[in-house]
Amino acid sequence: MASSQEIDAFLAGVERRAFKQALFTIRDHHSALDVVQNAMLKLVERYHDKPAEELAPLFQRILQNTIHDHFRRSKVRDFWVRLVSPLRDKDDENTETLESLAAHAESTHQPNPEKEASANQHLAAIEQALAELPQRQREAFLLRYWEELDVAETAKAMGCSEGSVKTHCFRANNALAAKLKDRGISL
Amino acid sequence: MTKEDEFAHRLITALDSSVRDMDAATLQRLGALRRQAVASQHSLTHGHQILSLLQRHSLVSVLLALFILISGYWFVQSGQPAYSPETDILLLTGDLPPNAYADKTFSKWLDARSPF
Amino acid sequence: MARRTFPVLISLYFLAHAGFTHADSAPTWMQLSIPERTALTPIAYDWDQLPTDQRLKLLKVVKEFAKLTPTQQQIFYARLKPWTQMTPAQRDAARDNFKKLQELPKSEQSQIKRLWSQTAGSDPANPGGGQ
Repeated sequence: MASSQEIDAFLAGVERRAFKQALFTIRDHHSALDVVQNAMLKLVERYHDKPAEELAPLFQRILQNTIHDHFRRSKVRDFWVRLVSPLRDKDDENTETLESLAAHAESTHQPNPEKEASANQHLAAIEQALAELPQRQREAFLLRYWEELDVAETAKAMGCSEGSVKTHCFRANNALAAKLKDRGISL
Repeated sequence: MTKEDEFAHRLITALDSSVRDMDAATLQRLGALRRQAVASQHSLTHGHQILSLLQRHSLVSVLLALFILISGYWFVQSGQPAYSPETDILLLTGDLPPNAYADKTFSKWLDARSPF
Repeated sequence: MARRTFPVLISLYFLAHAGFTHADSAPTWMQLSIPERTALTPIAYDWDQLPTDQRLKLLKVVKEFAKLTPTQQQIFYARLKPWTQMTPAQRDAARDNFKKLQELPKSEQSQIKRLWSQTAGSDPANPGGGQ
């Protein structure tokens, strides 16, 4: 069973990467911190009795699920807020407002650009490329190469087959290479 | 290591530098969240103290058991409406996913629109 | 006195708990029929850990599964696991709001639905964009 010090040491080692991972999907500083907090609390709640060496893949699975949950809920919230706000004082004009919102909805499906300052041009391009990847490809790539989980552990964290992990990773690598090449960046 | 792996590792090296240079405020906040989480472990592993407390104070145990029995009975008697699966099947196959309906902003808006 | 009364009290508690809150017990995955397992495939691994009353409700829902079109069945499959992962309060809120939505004018209902399908990536089975 992991001691408090071991759990503290583990989380200290992983917290920054966990925050960055959350930020790639959620794109909001405050919410990404919330996600990291939830993931840490859930890890302690569910797995405080596991040995320290098992914590990494368990934490990653919790983190991925927490990121997904948050992302889903915030998309839902955004939808209703946009629908509801202009209607507050216009009970008689609901139909028109809903229709104008339809036009608005089509033009606003853009995630906010990453606001974090980055001195390194390469880094900004890399982070942008990662953020543009489909969710599952980014997950597989970061879990395999950044968190250094093996294929089996990655599959468990992502809730998919080992074959899917390899496919996602392969596609992620190709997509990232292509995007960086487009920007004239060679690593 | 394949060429793919080499590319990935160069990319990761750049990511690592961004993590090293993270702003102090965020790092501080992350540390605070971590300490909170580790502290919550303490209360989990010491929960069994309540159980041994009960063992030693049998009168408290009797009263607690009675309370649980009575409140359980009351809860069942308070009469819950019969469950209808029709709504659930519509939720699970309809145009909007169930989590969309659960949103609080939507709830508030619907309540405001209710004629009652 | 403590040593003898404590196990008796614990047994009483569990008996009461079993009597009052579990009207029936729910079947385990191995006890389900083939049609039931077909309908519940997405949560096969989670089934045995679900609370009893949730399992009983789901078994009533899956009676309707065979009547669904193939498209509806696919939607059902995509939504089943997230549904079981919502809290009971969230599920009740969803049911309430669903019923209230049906009471709105038809034109509004269809507009809301159209708006939803236009905001791409709103599908909970596909967060964060493409696959």
